[in-house]
Amino acid sequence: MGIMDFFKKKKKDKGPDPLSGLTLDTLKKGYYLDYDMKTWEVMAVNTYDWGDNDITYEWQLQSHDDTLFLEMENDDEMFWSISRKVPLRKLDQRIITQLKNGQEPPETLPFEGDVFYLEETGGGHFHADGAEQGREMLQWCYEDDDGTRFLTIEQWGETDFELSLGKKVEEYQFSDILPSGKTDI
Amino acid sequence: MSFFKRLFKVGESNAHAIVDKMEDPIKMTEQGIRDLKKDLSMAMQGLAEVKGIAIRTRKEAEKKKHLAADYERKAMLLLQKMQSNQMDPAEAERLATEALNRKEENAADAQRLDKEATAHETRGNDLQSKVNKLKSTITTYENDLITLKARSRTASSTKKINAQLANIDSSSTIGMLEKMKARVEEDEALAQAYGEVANAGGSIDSEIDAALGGAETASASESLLELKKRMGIS
Repeated sequence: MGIMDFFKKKKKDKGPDPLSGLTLDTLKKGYYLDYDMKTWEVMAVNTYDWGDNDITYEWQLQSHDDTLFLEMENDDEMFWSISRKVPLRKLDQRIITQLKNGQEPPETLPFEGDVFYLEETGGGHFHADGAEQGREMLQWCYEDDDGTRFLTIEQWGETDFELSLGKKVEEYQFSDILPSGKTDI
Repeated sequence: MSFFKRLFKVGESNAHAIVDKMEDPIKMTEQGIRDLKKDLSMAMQGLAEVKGIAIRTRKEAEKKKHLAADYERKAMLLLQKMQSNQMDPAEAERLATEALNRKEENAADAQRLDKEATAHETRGNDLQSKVNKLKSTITTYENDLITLKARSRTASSTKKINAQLANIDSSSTIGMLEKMKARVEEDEALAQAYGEVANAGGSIDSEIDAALGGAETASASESLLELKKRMGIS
Protein backbone atom coordinates (compact mmCIF):
# COMPACT_ATOMS: atom_id res chain seq x y z
CA MET A 1 0.00 0.00 0.00
CA GLY A 2 1.50 3.29 -1.11
CA ILE A 3 1.39 6.45 0.94
CA MET A 4 -1.16 7.96 -1.44
CA ASP A 5 -3.47 5.00 -0.90
CA PHE A 6 -3.76 6.07 2.70
CA PHE A 7 -5.46 9.28 1.63
CA LYS A 8 -7.67 7.64 -0.96
CA LYS A 9 -11.25 7.56 0.14
CA LYS A 10 -12.53 4.02 0.33
CA LYS A 11 -15.60 3.52 -1.81
CA LYS A 12 -18.40 2.31 0.39
CA ASP A 13 -20.72 -0.27 -1.15
CA LYS A 14 -24.05 1.48 -1.03
CA GLY A 15 -25.88 -1.72 -1.97
CA PRO A 16 -28.72 -2.05 -4.43
CA ASP A 17 -31.10 0.76 -5.27
CA PRO A 18 -34.06 0.16 -2.95
CA LEU A 19 -36.51 0.85 -5.76
CA SER A 20 -35.07 -0.62 -8.93
CA GLY A 21 -32.17 -2.76 -7.72
CA LEU A 22 -34.08 -5.44 -5.87
CA THR A 23 -35.18 -7.93 -8.48
CA LEU A 24 -35.54 -11.68 -8.39
CA ASP A 25 -32.39 -12.29 -10.45
CA THR A 26 -30.29 -10.17 -8.06
CA LEU A 27 -31.18 -12.16 -4.94
CA LYS A 28 -28.25 -12.77 -2.64
CA LYS A 29 -27.69 -14.89 0.41
CA GLY A 30 -29.47 -13.36 3.41
CA TYR A 31 -32.12 -11.57 1.33
CA TYR A 32 -35.81 -11.99 2.14
CA LEU A 33 -38.79 -12.22 -0.15
CA ASP A 34 -42.46 -13.13 0.00
CA TYR A 35 -43.98 -15.98 -1.96
CA ASP A 36 -47.15 -17.96 -1.46
CA MET A 37 -48.17 -15.99 1.67
CA LYS A 38 -44.88 -16.72 3.41
CA THR A 39 -41.60 -14.94 3.97
CA TRP A 40 -38.54 -16.78 2.73
CA GLU A 41 -34.88 -16.26 3.48
CA VAL A 42 -32.27 -16.90 0.80
CA MET A 43 -29.97 -19.51 2.33
CA ALA A 44 -27.69 -20.11 -0.65
CA VAL A 45 -27.13 -19.12 -4.26
CA ASN A 46 -26.08 -22.09 -6.35
CA THR A 47 -25.27 -22.50 -10.02
CA TYR A 48 -25.41 -25.37 -12.48
CA ASP A 49 -22.86 -25.01 -15.24
CA TRP A 50 -23.92 -27.06 -18.27
CA GLY A 51 -21.01 -25.85 -20.43
CA ASP A 52 -20.97 -23.37 -23.35
CA ASN A 53 -22.00 -20.55 -21.00
CA ASP A 54 -25.27 -22.32 -20.30
CA ILE A 55 -25.84 -21.63 -16.62
CA THR A 56 -28.85 -22.25 -14.41
CA TYR A 57 -29.12 -20.18 -11.23
CA GLU A 58 -30.67 -21.66 -8.14
CA TRP A 59 -31.65 -19.93 -4.90
CA GLN A 60 -32.32 -22.05 -1.84
CA LEU A 61 -35.21 -20.45 0.02
CA GLN A 62 -36.25 -21.29 3.54
CA SER A 63 -39.36 -20.34 5.48
CA HIS A 64 -40.11 -21.37 9.04
CA ASP A 65 -41.40 -24.76 7.93
CA ASP A 66 -40.39 -25.34 4.32
CA THR A 67 -37.46 -25.29 1.90
CA LEU A 68 -37.73 -24.72 -1.80
CA PHE A 69 -35.46 -24.06 -4.72
CA LEU A 70 -36.06 -21.15 -7.06
CA GLU A 71 -34.44 -21.63 -10.45
CA MET A 72 -33.77 -19.25 -13.30
CA GLU A 73 -32.88 -20.35 -16.78
CA ASN A 74 -31.89 -17.69 -19.29
CA ASP A 75 -32.82 -18.89 -22.74
CA ASP A 76 -33.32 -15.59 -24.63
CA GLU A 77 -35.81 -14.79 -21.90
CA MET A 78 -35.90 -15.72 -18.24
CA PHE A 79 -37.71 -18.86 -17.18
CA TRP A 80 -38.52 -19.25 -13.53
CA SER A 81 -39.45 -22.38 -11.63
CA ILE A 82 -39.64 -23.61 -8.08
CA SER A 83 -39.03 -27.14 -6.89
CA ARG A 84 -38.98 -29.13 -3.70
CA LYS A 85 -36.99 -32.24 -2.88
CA VAL A 86 -39.06 -35.39 -2.89
CA PRO A 87 -37.95 -38.69 -1.33
CA LEU A 88 -36.66 -41.01 -4.04
CA ARG A 89 -38.72 -43.85 -2.57
CA LYS A 90 -41.82 -42.13 -3.98
CA LEU A 91 -40.72 -43.33 -7.40
CA ASP A 92 -41.72 -46.74 -8.68
CA GLN A 93 -39.40 -49.29 -7.07
CA ARG A 94 -38.52 -50.82 -10.45
CA ILE A 95 -37.30 -47.47 -11.69
CA ILE A 96 -35.17 -46.98 -8.57
CA THR A 97 -33.61 -50.41 -9.13
CA GLN A 98 -33.06 -49.55 -12.79
CA LEU A 99 -31.27 -46.34 -11.81
CA LYS A 100 -29.14 -47.97 -9.14
CA ASN A 101 -28.12 -50.68 -11.60
CA GLY A 102 -26.64 -47.99 -13.80
CA GLN A 103 -29.34 -48.15 -16.43
CA GLU A 104 -30.73 -45.03 -18.12
CA PRO A 105 -34.02 -43.77 -16.66
CA PRO A 106 -37.14 -44.57 -18.74
CA GLU A 107 -38.76 -42.22 -21.29
CA THR A 108 -41.90 -41.90 -19.19
CA LEU A 109 -42.20 -41.70 -15.45
CA PRO A 110 -45.39 -42.44 -13.53
CA PHE A 111 -45.58 -40.28 -10.41
CA GLU A 112 -48.45 -39.58 -8.01
CA GLY A 113 -51.04 -40.58 -10.58
CA ASP A 114 -49.54 -38.49 -13.38
CA VAL A 115 -47.28 -39.42 -16.24
CA PHE A 116 -44.15 -37.38 -16.82
CA TYR A 117 -42.29 -37.43 -20.13
CA LEU A 118 -38.54 -37.18 -20.54
CA GLU A 119 -37.83 -33.69 -21.88
CA GLU A 120 -34.09 -33.27 -21.59
CA THR A 121 -31.00 -34.82 -20.13
CA GLY A 122 -27.70 -33.21 -19.34
CA GLY A 123 -24.51 -33.30 -17.40
CA GLY A 124 -22.82 -30.42 -15.68
CA HIS A 125 -21.13 -29.06 -12.62
CA PHE A 126 -22.95 -27.89 -9.53
CA HIS A 127 -21.38 -24.97 -7.68
CA ALA A 128 -22.79 -24.77 -4.18
CA ASP A 129 -23.16 -21.22 -2.84
CA GLY A 130 -20.49 -19.61 -5.00
CA ALA A 131 -17.94 -22.40 -4.61
CA GLU A 132 -15.31 -22.41 -7.34
CA GLN A 133 -14.97 -26.14 -7.34
CA GLY A 134 -17.97 -27.71 -9.01
CA ARG A 135 -19.45 -31.10 -8.32
CA GLU A 136 -20.15 -33.29 -11.32
CA MET A 137 -23.74 -34.38 -11.78
CA LEU A 138 -26.23 -35.74 -14.29
CA GLN A 139 -29.81 -34.69 -14.70
CA TRP A 140 -32.94 -36.10 -16.33
CA CYS A 141 -35.83 -33.70 -16.61
CA TYR A 142 -39.41 -34.86 -17.14
CA GLU A 143 -42.51 -32.76 -17.81
CA ASP A 144 -46.18 -33.55 -17.43
CA ASP A 145 -48.70 -33.31 -20.26
CA ASP A 146 -49.35 -29.55 -19.82
CA GLY A 147 -45.69 -28.75 -19.31
CA THR A 148 -46.51 -26.98 -16.06
CA ARG A 149 -45.10 -29.50 -13.57
CA PHE A 150 -41.77 -31.21 -13.88
CA LEU A 151 -39.87 -33.96 -12.18
CA THR A 152 -36.10 -34.03 -12.03
CA ILE A 153 -33.79 -36.91 -11.27
CA GLU A 154 -30.26 -35.90 -10.36
CA GLN A 155 -27.36 -38.28 -10.06
CA TRP A 156 -24.54 -37.22 -7.76
CA GLY A 157 -22.48 -40.36 -7.56
CA GLU A 158 -22.58 -44.01 -8.51
CA THR A 159 -25.75 -44.70 -6.55
CA ASP A 160 -26.63 -41.31 -5.13
CA PHE A 161 -29.86 -40.02 -6.67
CA GLU A 162 -32.14 -37.12 -5.81
CA LEU A 163 -35.65 -36.43 -6.94
CA SER A 164 -37.44 -33.08 -7.05
CA LEU A 165 -40.88 -31.97 -8.11
CA GLY A 166 -41.34 -28.50 -9.48
CA LYS A 167 -43.55 -26.13 -11.37
CA LYS A 168 -43.16 -23.04 -13.51
CA VAL A 169 -43.66 -19.71 -11.80
CA GLU A 170 -43.75 -16.08 -12.86
CA GLU A 171 -41.69 -13.25 -11.43
CA TYR A 172 -44.76 -11.33 -10.27
CA GLN A 173 -45.59 -14.13 -7.81
CA PHE A 174 -42.65 -13.00 -5.69
CA SER A 175 -42.74 -9.72 -3.85
CA ASP A 176 -41.29 -7.57 -1.09
CA ILE A 177 -37.66 -8.39 -1.78
CA LEU A 178 -35.50 -7.10 1.04
CA PRO A 179 -31.75 -7.02 1.22
CA SER A 180 -30.07 -8.70 4.12
CA GLY A 181 -30.72 -7.06 7.46
CA LYS A 182 -27.27 -8.05 8.64
CA THR A 183 -25.13 -6.14 6.16
CA ASP A 184 -24.79 -2.56 5.05
CA ILE A 185 -27.20 -1.64 2.33
CA MET B 1 -34.17 51.27 13.36
CA SER B 2 -30.52 51.86 14.02
CA PHE B 3 -28.04 52.23 11.20
CA PHE B 4 -26.23 48.96 11.96
CA LYS B 5 -29.48 47.03 12.13
CA ARG B 6 -30.45 48.35 8.71
CA LEU B 7 -27.01 47.52 7.35
CA PHE B 8 -27.30 43.99 8.72
CA LYS B 9 -30.76 43.63 7.12
CA VAL B 10 -29.39 44.75 3.77
CA GLY B 11 -26.54 42.25 4.05
CA GLU B 12 -28.94 39.51 5.05
CA SER B 13 -31.32 40.15 2.18
CA ASN B 14 -28.43 40.22 -0.31
CA ALA B 15 -27.05 36.95 1.06
CA HIS B 16 -30.51 35.37 0.71
CA ALA B 17 -30.76 36.64 -2.85
CA ILE B 18 -27.37 35.10 -3.70
CA VAL B 19 -28.30 31.75 -2.12
CA ASP B 20 -31.65 31.85 -3.99
CA LYS B 21 -29.76 32.33 -7.24
CA MET B 22 -27.41 29.44 -6.42
CA GLU B 23 -30.28 27.09 -5.57
CA ASP B 24 -31.08 24.71 -8.44
CA PRO B 25 -34.54 23.22 -7.75
CA ILE B 26 -33.79 20.12 -9.85
CA LYS B 27 -30.56 19.39 -8.00
CA MET B 28 -32.26 20.08 -4.68
CA THR B 29 -35.07 17.64 -5.55
CA GLU B 30 -32.55 15.01 -6.68
CA GLN B 31 -30.76 15.35 -3.36
CA GLY B 32 -34.10 15.09 -1.54
CA ILE B 33 -34.88 11.85 -3.39
CA ARG B 34 -31.41 10.49 -2.60
CA ASP B 35 -32.01 11.24 1.09
CA LEU B 36 -35.42 9.56 0.94
CA LYS B 37 -33.87 6.49 -0.69
CA LYS B 38 -31.31 6.35 2.08
CA ASP B 39 -34.14 6.43 4.62
CA LEU B 40 -35.93 3.72 2.65
CA SER B 41 -32.82 1.53 2.66
CA MET B 42 -32.57 1.92 6.42
CA ALA B 43 -36.25 1.07 6.85
CA MET B 44 -35.82 -1.99 4.61
CA GLN B 45 -32.84 -3.10 6.63
CA GLY B 46 -34.92 -2.83 9.79
CA LEU B 47 -37.76 -4.71 8.15
CA ALA B 48 -35.42 -7.48 7.01
CA GLU B 49 -34.23 -7.85 10.59
CA VAL B 50 -37.81 -8.09 11.88
CA LYS B 51 -38.70 -10.66 9.20
CA GLY B 52 -35.61 -12.68 10.03
CA ILE B 53 -36.50 -12.67 13.73
CA ALA B 54 -40.09 -13.65 12.90
CA ILE B 55 -38.96 -16.63 10.80
CA ARG B 56 -36.50 -17.81 13.44
CA THR B 57 -39.02 -17.41 16.27
CA ARG B 58 -41.71 -19.27 14.31
CA LYS B 59 -39.20 -22.02 13.51
CA GLU B 60 -38.26 -22.25 17.19
CA ALA B 61 -41.95 -22.41 18.14
CA GLU B 62 -42.49 -25.29 15.67
CA LYS B 63 -39.45 -27.07 17.10
CA LYS B 64 -40.82 -26.75 20.64
CA LYS B 65 -44.21 -28.03 19.48
CA HIS B 66 -42.56 -31.08 17.94
CA LEU B 67 -40.53 -31.63 21.09
CA ALA B 68 -43.68 -31.42 23.23
CA ALA B 69 -45.39 -33.96 20.99
CA ASP B 70 -42.29 -36.13 21.12
CA TYR B 71 -42.24 -36.10 24.96
CA GLU B 72 -45.92 -36.97 25.08
CA ARG B 73 -45.32 -39.88 22.71
CA LYS B 74 -42.42 -41.04 24.91
CA ALA B 75 -44.60 -40.85 28.04
CA MET B 76 -47.22 -42.96 26.27
CA LEU B 77 -44.59 -45.51 25.21
CA LEU B 78 -43.35 -45.73 28.81
CA LEU B 79 -46.88 -46.34 30.07
CA GLN B 80 -47.43 -48.94 27.35
CA LYS B 81 -44.24 -50.72 28.46
CA MET B 82 -45.46 -50.59 32.04
CA GLN B 83 -48.79 -51.99 30.94
CA SER B 84 -47.14 -54.86 29.11
CA ASN B 85 -44.95 -55.54 32.15
CA GLN B 86 -41.79 -54.70 30.25
CA MET B 87 -40.88 -52.08 32.82
CA ASP B 88 -41.01 -51.48 36.53
CA PRO B 89 -44.23 -49.51 37.11
CA ALA B 90 -42.66 -47.02 39.52
CA GLU B 91 -39.75 -46.33 37.20
CA ALA B 92 -42.04 -46.12 34.21
CA GLU B 93 -44.32 -43.67 36.01
CA ARG B 94 -41.38 -41.58 37.18
CA LEU B 95 -39.98 -41.34 33.68
CA ALA B 96 -43.42 -40.78 32.16
CA THR B 97 -44.06 -37.95 34.65
CA GLU B 98 -40.68 -36.46 33.80
CA ALA B 99 -41.47 -36.74 30.08
CA LEU B 100 -44.84 -35.06 30.66
CA ASN B 101 -43.15 -32.27 32.60
CA ARG B 102 -40.83 -31.72 29.68
CA LYS B 103 -43.78 -31.84 27.33
CA GLU B 104 -45.50 -29.11 29.36
CA GLU B 105 -42.35 -27.00 29.42
CA ASN B 106 -41.92 -27.28 25.68
CA ALA B 107 -45.61 -26.69 25.03
CA ALA B 108 -45.47 -23.53 27.17
CA ASP B 109 -42.34 -22.40 25.32
CA ALA B 110 -44.04 -23.13 22.01
CA GLN B 111 -47.05 -21.05 23.04
CA ARG B 112 -44.86 -18.16 24.16
CA LEU B 113 -42.75 -18.30 20.98
CA ASP B 114 -45.92 -18.54 18.88
CA LYS B 115 -47.17 -15.33 20.44
CA GLU B 116 -43.79 -13.66 19.94
CA ALA B 117 -43.64 -14.80 16.32
CA THR B 118 -47.13 -13.45 15.71
CA ALA B 119 -46.11 -10.13 17.25
CA HIS B 120 -43.00 -9.99 15.04
CA GLU B 121 -45.05 -10.90 11.99
CA THR B 122 -47.61 -8.19 12.78
CA ARG B 123 -44.83 -5.67 13.27
CA GLY B 124 -43.24 -6.89 10.04
CA ASN B 125 -46.51 -6.50 8.11
CA ASP B 126 -46.99 -3.03 9.56
CA LEU B 127 -43.44 -2.04 8.61
CA GLN B 128 -43.86 -3.62 5.18
CA SER B 129 -46.89 -1.48 4.43
CA LYS B 130 -44.98 1.62 5.55
CA VAL B 131 -41.99 0.65 3.40
CA ASN B 132 -44.33 0.07 0.44
CA LYS B 133 -45.89 3.50 1.01
CA LEU B 134 -42.45 5.11 1.14
CA LYS B 135 -41.45 3.23 -2.03
CA SER B 136 -44.52 4.44 -3.87
CA THR B 137 -43.98 8.02 -2.64
CA ILE B 138 -40.36 8.03 -3.82
CA THR B 139 -41.37 6.48 -7.15
CA THR B 140 -43.96 9.25 -7.59
CA TYR B 141 -41.36 11.89 -6.74
CA GLU B 142 -38.87 10.31 -9.16
CA ASN B 143 -41.43 10.24 -11.96
CA ASP B 144 -42.47 13.82 -11.20
CA LEU B 145 -38.83 14.87 -11.32
CA ILE B 146 -38.32 13.14 -14.69
CA THR B 147 -41.40 14.93 -16.06
CA LEU B 148 -40.30 18.25 -14.58
CA LYS B 149 -36.79 17.83 -16.00
CA ALA B 150 -38.25 17.15 -19.45
CA ARG B 151 -40.58 20.15 -19.09
CA SER B 152 -37.70 22.31 -17.91
CA ARG B 153 -35.58 21.25 -20.91
CA THR B 154 -38.47 21.93 -23.29
CA ALA B 155 -39.12 25.31 -21.66
CA SER B 156 -35.45 26.22 -21.90
CA SER B 157 -35.32 25.28 -25.61
CA THR B 158 -38.56 27.15 -26.30
CA LYS B 159 -37.20 30.16 -24.46
CA LYS B 160 -34.03 30.07 -26.57
CA ILE B 161 -35.99 29.79 -29.83
CA ASN B 162 -38.39 32.55 -28.83
CA ALA B 163 -35.50 34.78 -27.79
CA GLN B 164 -33.86 34.20 -31.16
CA LEU B 165 -37.10 35.03 -32.92
CA ALA B 166 -37.64 38.14 -30.88
CA ASN B 167 -34.08 39.31 -30.72
CA ILE B 168 -33.08 41.49 -33.68
CA ASP B 169 -29.76 42.65 -32.44
CA SER B 170 -26.76 42.51 -34.80
CA SER B 171 -25.30 39.35 -33.26
CA SER B 172 -28.38 37.16 -33.66
CA THR B 173 -29.10 35.09 -36.75
CA ILE B 174 -32.21 37.08 -37.55
CA GLY B 175 -30.27 40.29 -37.11
CA MET B 176 -27.71 38.99 -39.59
CA LEU B 177 -30.46 38.12 -42.06
CA GLU B 178 -32.01 41.55 -41.63
CA LYS B 179 -28.61 43.14 -42.15
CA MET B 180 -28.07 41.04 -45.27
CA LYS B 181 -31.54 41.92 -46.56
CA ALA B 182 -30.79 45.60 -46.02
CA ARG B 183 -27.49 45.25 -47.84
CA VAL B 184 -29.13 43.46 -50.80
CA GLU B 185 -31.81 46.15 -50.98
CA GLU B 186 -29.11 48.79 -50.80
CA ASP B 187 -27.18 47.06 -53.63
CA GLU B 188 -30.33 46.79 -55.71
CA ALA B 189 -31.10 50.45 -55.19
CA LEU B 190 -27.56 51.31 -56.07
CA ALA B 191 -27.70 49.17 -59.24
CA GLN B 192 -30.93 50.86 -60.24
CA ALA B 193 -29.41 54.19 -59.61
CA TYR B 194 -26.35 53.32 -61.67
CA GLY B 195 -28.65 52.16 -64.46
CA GLU B 196 -30.49 55.43 -64.35
CA VAL B 197 -27.25 57.35 -64.33
CA ALA B 198 -26.02 55.26 -67.30
CA ASN B 199 -29.18 56.05 -69.19
CA ALA B 200 -28.90 59.64 -68.22
CA GLY B 201 -25.21 59.71 -69.11
CA GLY B 202 -25.77 60.04 -73.02
CA SER B 203 -25.16 63.31 -75.02
CA ILE B 204 -27.78 65.92 -75.50
CA ASP B 205 -27.87 64.91 -79.20
CA SER B 206 -28.95 61.45 -78.28
CA GLU B 207 -31.63 62.96 -76.17
CA ILE B 208 -32.80 65.07 -79.05
CA ASP B 209 -32.60 62.09 -81.42
CA ALA B 210 -34.55 60.03 -79.00
CA ALA B 211 -37.18 62.72 -78.71
CA LEU B 212 -37.36 63.28 -82.46
CA GLY B 213 -36.73 59.63 -83.39
CA GLY B 214 -39.95 59.30 -85.42
CA ALA B 215 -39.47 62.60 -87.36
CA GLU B 216 -35.91 61.74 -88.41
CA THR B 217 -37.01 58.44 -89.89
CA ALA B 218 -39.79 60.17 -91.86
CA SER B 219 -37.38 62.78 -93.24
CA ALA B 220 -34.92 60.12 -94.50
CA SER B 221 -37.58 58.25 -96.39
CA GLU B 222 -38.86 61.44 -97.93
CA SER B 223 -35.33 62.18 -99.26
CA LEU B 224 -35.08 58.69 -100.67
CA LEU B 225 -38.37 59.04 -102.46
CA GLU B 226 -37.27 62.37 -103.94
CA LEU B 227 -34.01 60.89 -105.20
CA LYS B 228 -35.75 57.92 -106.78
CA LYS B 229 -38.20 60.33 -108.46
CA ARG B 230 -35.29 62.33 -109.88
CA MET B 231 -33.63 59.25 -111.24
CA GLY B 232 -36.87 58.01 -112.79
CA ILE B 233 -37.09 54.97 -110.57
CA SER B 234 -40.56 54.20 -109.43
